Amino acid sequence: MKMKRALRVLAAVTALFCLVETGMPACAEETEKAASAVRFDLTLDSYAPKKDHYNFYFTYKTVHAWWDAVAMGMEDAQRQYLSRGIVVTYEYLAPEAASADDQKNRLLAAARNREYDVIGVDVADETVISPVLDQLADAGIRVMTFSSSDAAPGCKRIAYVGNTHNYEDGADLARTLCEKLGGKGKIAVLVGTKGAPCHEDRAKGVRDTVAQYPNMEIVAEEYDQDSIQRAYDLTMKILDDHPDLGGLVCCNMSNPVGAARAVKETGRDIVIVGMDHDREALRDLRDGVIYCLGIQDCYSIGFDTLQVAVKIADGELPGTLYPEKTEKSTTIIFQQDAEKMLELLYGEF
Amino acid sequence: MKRSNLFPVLIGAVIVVLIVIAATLWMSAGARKATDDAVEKVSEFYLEELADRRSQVVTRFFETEADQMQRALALMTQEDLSSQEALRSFIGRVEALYGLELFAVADEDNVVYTEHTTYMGGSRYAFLSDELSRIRTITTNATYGGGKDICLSLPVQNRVFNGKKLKTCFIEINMDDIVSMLAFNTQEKGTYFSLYYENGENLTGLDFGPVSAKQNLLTFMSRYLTAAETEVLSGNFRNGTAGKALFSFSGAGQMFYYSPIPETGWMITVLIPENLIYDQIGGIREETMNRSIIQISITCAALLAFFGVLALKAQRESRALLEEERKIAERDSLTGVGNKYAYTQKVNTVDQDIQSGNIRLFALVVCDLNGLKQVNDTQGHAAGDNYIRKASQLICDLYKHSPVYRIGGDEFVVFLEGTDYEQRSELLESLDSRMVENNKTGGVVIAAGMAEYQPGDSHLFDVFSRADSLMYERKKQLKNA
Repeated sequence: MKMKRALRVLAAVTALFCLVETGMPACAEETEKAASAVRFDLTLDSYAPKKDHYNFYFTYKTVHAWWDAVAMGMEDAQRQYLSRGIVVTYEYLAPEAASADDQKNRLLAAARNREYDVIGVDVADETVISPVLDQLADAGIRVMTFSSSDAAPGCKRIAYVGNTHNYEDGADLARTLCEKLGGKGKIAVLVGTKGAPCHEDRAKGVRDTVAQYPNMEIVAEEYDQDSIQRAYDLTMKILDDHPDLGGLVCCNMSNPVGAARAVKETGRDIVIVGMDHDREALRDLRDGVIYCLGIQDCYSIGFDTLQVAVKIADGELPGTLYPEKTEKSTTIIFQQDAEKMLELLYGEF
Repeated sequence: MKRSNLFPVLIGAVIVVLIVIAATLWMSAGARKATDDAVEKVSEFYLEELADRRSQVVTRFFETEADQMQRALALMTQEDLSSQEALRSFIGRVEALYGLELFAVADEDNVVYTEHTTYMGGSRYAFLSDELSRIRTITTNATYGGGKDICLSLPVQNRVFNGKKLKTCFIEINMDDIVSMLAFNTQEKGTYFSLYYENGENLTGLDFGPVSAKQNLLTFMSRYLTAAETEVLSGNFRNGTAGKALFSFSGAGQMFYYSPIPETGWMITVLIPENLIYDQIGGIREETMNRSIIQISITCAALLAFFGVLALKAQRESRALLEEERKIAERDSLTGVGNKYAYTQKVNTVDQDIQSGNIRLFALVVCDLNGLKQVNDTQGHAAGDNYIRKASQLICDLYKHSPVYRIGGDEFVVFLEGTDYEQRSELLESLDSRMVENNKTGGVVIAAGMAEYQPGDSHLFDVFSRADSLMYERKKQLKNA
């Protein structure tokens, strides 16, 4: 009883200290954190486009809700240009299943048409796509990369808008998991599409970080090819193969959804850390099934992709008007942030 | 009369008087109870009428929209859609004609074509699934960013684009349009309306009386109803069945009625405090009650007349209220001019007149506001609303004899007939010259384009397309000035 009372006093003092130090309660801080992780209120910068009509072609890895969120930002930018009397038309297309060869064919077909001011790509596999982009650039076609995966270093693409720190995101997730497990235990890594730079970079960040913890061990690493069902199947197998598994690092959007389904079904006590804003994953975060999620600002990525594309189409090069790489943030959120994030992203109360 | 004889008579008279008084009081009490029962029944009737009427308005709205989509598909067959540019142009004209936020078609690979964009829709729209794309659907999609898209989709038959079969067309509907149509501003009078999903989630983003927009209605109601009543309510929502509930909130009785809107999975809900009903109907009741008490002492037959009078008056009140609300439903709540719903009614009427050869000469003026986005961004939405009101007033002042419609956020259409039609050129010149001045001085800037009906036009669409093109030209001129 004395111990409980002492803990209560300690908690009250800590809360009071937090309030005095920060000027706001801890829960308000978390709400702020969730609100600052994503934005939906961007407006175009003051750049005056040189034409009154632009036509773009964008292609990305696979049909998936993550890229639908990027599309929201693009569509908002397109509407804002239209309200300024500038018509922006574009295609935003992808295959049903991720395929670097399919992406290569799409890019070459778009280049043959010669009707696009800029061609943009979210790189499915940098070894396959980077030479294609160089080939297009050599032919005088303006190409850029966007979303979550840039081309290989040295590629002649003009600019990139999106996540520039996938390695760090993977490292942050792994560090959070290792600390939660007390620096020891067995974990597994789920990755998305094989060869996709963003997924591979995150996986490398995870491996390098876990290696810094001598008592942590990665016992399995699997690719779900951006399929929730495959993420579920892989997790079930991993859980079966490793009864003493302590945690799972999930490197893309489908990973944590499938992993959480498997963990709930088996009732195992597994710490899941993962990426992105899938609604089901956020509900699992709220319910304590998932420990944390790295949230990317998809709307901003889409919005700025269109702004940069307009400048590239006008012949402007990276410099004062826009950077060669437009940095986009990732914020790791926890259970206390989940409700606010569900409200912000999906209007769910 | 002897004292001994008078006493029994007096006793008898008193007894008779007492009996008469007792009988009158008894009958009066019975009449009062019957009156209360009648008031309750009329109140229920009133609530049902309110909810059902609104449910019908929404249903008719979707029917009208679906009808317009069918017409657009019919027009599609007359168009040369051999290129993506041609398809986008056609979609743009359809959107402008019907004042649509978004009209789109999707092919068998779930590639969605809109006026300006082409994108993959499979992960975004449930209605593109193999099962749902074969039927008409009304879906509400929660979108990234907290928004809700209401989509009306129709299957498309025998249309091919770019070598792919088109399977679905759809429009996005702004919830604000539906809220405006349902005249939710009657909430000022203490009557509350809202729309909910079958799971109790609020659809409109508006508070529903004491229920915050963020609260789940079923969860809220469970605090004030018994477990059995809550079970019935949840079951009715789940099964799309109409029903009612009485509950007490903050010491006041509340009457709650709900009715499903077909195809949508939505419930329209109405909430009225009991005292409001009694205030509204009570005056009639008291007046009629006094008369009935006198009549009761004479004959019970007056009771029947009373019910007749009461029911008649209450129904007249209901009808008058419903008529007033119908007018509100066709009026844009921000500017007072006709709203998109009123405009689509006009389009349908004119199209029918053209088809039957009874059309009189008319012209359309399509107006679009310049700079609204900038006002919204720099001065806030209240200033933006004010900007729209000023523009609307300016248009109405100029075209005094013509109906004006607000068909989009910053788009208006004026339908010119009679005097305004005869003076159409002078009026447009007057507007344009004033806009040139406003463009310099920072006043409201309206880009307008006008076109007349010409023999050979088969739809209002044709006139609208010409006016819209001219408006767009004018918009560019004003921007470049």
